[in-house]
Amino acid sequence: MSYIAQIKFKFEDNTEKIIKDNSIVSFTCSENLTDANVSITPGVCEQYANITIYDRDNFFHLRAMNDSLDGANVEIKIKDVQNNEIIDLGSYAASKWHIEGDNSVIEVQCKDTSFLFDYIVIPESEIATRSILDFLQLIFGSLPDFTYEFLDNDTATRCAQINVPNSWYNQTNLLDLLNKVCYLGMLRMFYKQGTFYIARSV
Amino acid sequence: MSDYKLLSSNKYRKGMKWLQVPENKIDTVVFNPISNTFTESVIVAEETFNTVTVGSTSLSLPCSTSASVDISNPSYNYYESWGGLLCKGNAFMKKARITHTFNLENPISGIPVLKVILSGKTRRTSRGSIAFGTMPSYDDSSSSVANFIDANKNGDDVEWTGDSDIKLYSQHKINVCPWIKKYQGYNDSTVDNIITRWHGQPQAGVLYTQDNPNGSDWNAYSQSGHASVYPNPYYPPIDWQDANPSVYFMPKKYEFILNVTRINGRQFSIDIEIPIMFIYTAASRMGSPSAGDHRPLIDSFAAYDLITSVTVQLIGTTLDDSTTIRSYSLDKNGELTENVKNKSPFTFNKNELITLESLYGLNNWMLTMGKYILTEYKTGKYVIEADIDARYLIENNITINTPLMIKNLNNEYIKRGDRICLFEIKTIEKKYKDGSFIYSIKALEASYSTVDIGNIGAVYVLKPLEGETVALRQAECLYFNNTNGVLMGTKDEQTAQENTMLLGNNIALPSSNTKLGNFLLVPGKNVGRKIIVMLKTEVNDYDNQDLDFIIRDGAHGESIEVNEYYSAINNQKQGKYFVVLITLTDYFIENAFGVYIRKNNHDPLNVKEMQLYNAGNTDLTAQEAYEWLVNNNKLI
Repeated sequence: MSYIAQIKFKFEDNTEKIIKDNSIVSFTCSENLTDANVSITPGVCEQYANITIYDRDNFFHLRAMNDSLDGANVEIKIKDVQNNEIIDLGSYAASKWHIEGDNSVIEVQCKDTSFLFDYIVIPESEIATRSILDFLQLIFGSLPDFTYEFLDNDTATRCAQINVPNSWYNQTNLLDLLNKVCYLGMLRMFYKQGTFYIARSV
Repeated sequence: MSDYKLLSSNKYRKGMKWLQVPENKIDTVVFNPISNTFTESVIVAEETFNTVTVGSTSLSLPCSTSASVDISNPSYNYYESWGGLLCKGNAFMKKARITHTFNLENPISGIPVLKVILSGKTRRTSRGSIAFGTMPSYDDSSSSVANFIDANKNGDDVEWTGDSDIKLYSQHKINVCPWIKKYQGYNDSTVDNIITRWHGQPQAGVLYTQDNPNGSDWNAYSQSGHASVYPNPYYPPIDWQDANPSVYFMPKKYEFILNVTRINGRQFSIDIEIPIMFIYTAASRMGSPSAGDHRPLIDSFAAYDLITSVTVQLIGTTLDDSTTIRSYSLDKNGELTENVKNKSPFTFNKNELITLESLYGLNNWMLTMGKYILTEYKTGKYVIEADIDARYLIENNITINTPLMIKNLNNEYIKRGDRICLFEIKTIEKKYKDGSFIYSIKALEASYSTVDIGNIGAVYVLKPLEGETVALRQAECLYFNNTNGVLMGTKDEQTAQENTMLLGNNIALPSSNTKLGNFLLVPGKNVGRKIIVMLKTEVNDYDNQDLDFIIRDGAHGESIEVNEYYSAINNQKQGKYFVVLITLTDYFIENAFGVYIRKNNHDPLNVKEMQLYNAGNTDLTAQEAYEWLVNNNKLI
């Protein structure tokens, strides 16, 4: 065994539950720039994680009965035993629980927190000539908690080269505006721990 | 070391799939660009107000006629003895303020024009039918006059928009004066002879241009020496011709306040002050004041206007966000055509960032991006799926978007023709079970390819940048810019510098119509990396001393001539080859650099073809590089 995993659940009431390797049946978590069809459709790509664990001490069953599972944050880490290196695989929001009363194995479906970007309002813009780079700087300039990073130089170059004379946009939410920017540059983005990673979709 | 990672079949934990995904074929692109052009004189905002502000008090329209007025301009009972004329009147005006901020959906350019439309109603007496003595006096209050009009009104109130027949509100300034017009005959009542009809222009402008009218009321003014009798240049030349030459009056004028302030491109505040009530009375008859009311009436009239609502329009230069559908496919020559196939379309829905005028470099965005997508996806893309031990990918720093060369289960490169396909990982599912950590990847064929040159490393093949094929022939010099990865042939050095030696990321690609070389070199800017430049000319074209190979620093304009280059004639290929090795250094990477090749007498180059190869950090000499190219059948 060269890797051991650990999953931490943190609930809205600040209760934390750490599930260690011997209670983890399996998990899958994504780092996707595109959809499953690897299509060229631009936009922000939502990440997901599917987790199966043993509820050895009935912790999750009890919370399910108390209806207190909602809003759990899930952190998945893995440790390379050989190098003693910890790899952070991501932080997710639990979205769906599968808990049966007579089964100690439970399943959790998670998604990343990018759905919250629906609720981040981006105010309308003035008329100006802007490159995609300008749009990104304008958007993220007002969002100190977020940043962006190009995954390759060609993407950065493309974003500098595409310009929209007399550009403007109406007030909208962050997700909608990023998707519009993505179409302009044929870009894909995914979000991970405060950073939007950007690459070309074609 | 190559810039690309190699994924060999021995790394697959669970097979691999190699799919040329038919869904990824695209034969048509459909755009819905918005016009985004400025349109003149468009009403960008409109608001109708039924409430105004007087002082700090909100007031609903129409206001009460008993409300206080701001201007009162009485025409005192005046007797003109030699003409035997007696006249009297008064005019009242009440003003109010409206402040408001408009929030526009779409931004506009500059400050809009403000247009105010007053809607109101007029109540009036019957013209010339009320006896002089019955009409209000100059010292009656405004509410008293209004009550008189209410008691003696003739017919229903007249609703109007814009201008009443008493005042021209659309002039945005009104005269507040009771003017009595004398007729030679009795009660001549054509429309033009309505008493106290004040025309704003040009009469009022002429009449009231006196800078400093003396006297605070009519009486004082009449004694001031500034009062005038007709004919007089201060009197309006038209419409007053029948006026009694001895009628005095006090000119008073009210100009609307119409301010619009730009807060930003979408927010504009207005601050306007307008009349909301105008009351008027005037009468005249023949005979001295002592004469009874039986003396002939010349005219009499009283009326009031009440503003019922105020409509404010902002008229601006706005952006047109209408869309037009544009669809393109490729014709047999690989050029865009509007004769679309539409079997596998890719559609761009309306998006305010995608406009007819959007640019990709100096070229139209829609045409450039459309051609690029269609060219890249006309035959679909290879998609590789494989399960790989996570350790291998982690330790080799292979992650999303990492470029890969991939070998299939037969340990052969996946190719298109003689080109090795390059892939970029687009999805990773990180799977953990029982201590086993697997990455399931999907890698998509990249938009560039390479060929294997064994121990030298990957060869970077010059690829037309998004469809623009350009003849390098007839160019004087060839430039490769390491910052933006553009190689071009240009007619002269100055053009090359203007187009390629700019710093930073904001480098505009040369437009297609310049007919310059315009090629994209796959980026990869490792310090110490060597680039083999291979140039093919006609056999008899150049001697060694004819060409200059120069590395030029873009920031400082410093040039370093490359002395070590090799040339040889290859009869089998019927060409002469020039090979030079260039090493990238920190200095040039930081400051942008160009590989600059020219004929030293500045004649146009006659280059048949050119390729740049990545030689990694090999120690090959130019001659060894040439020999390797020959031995591996790489000569172009």
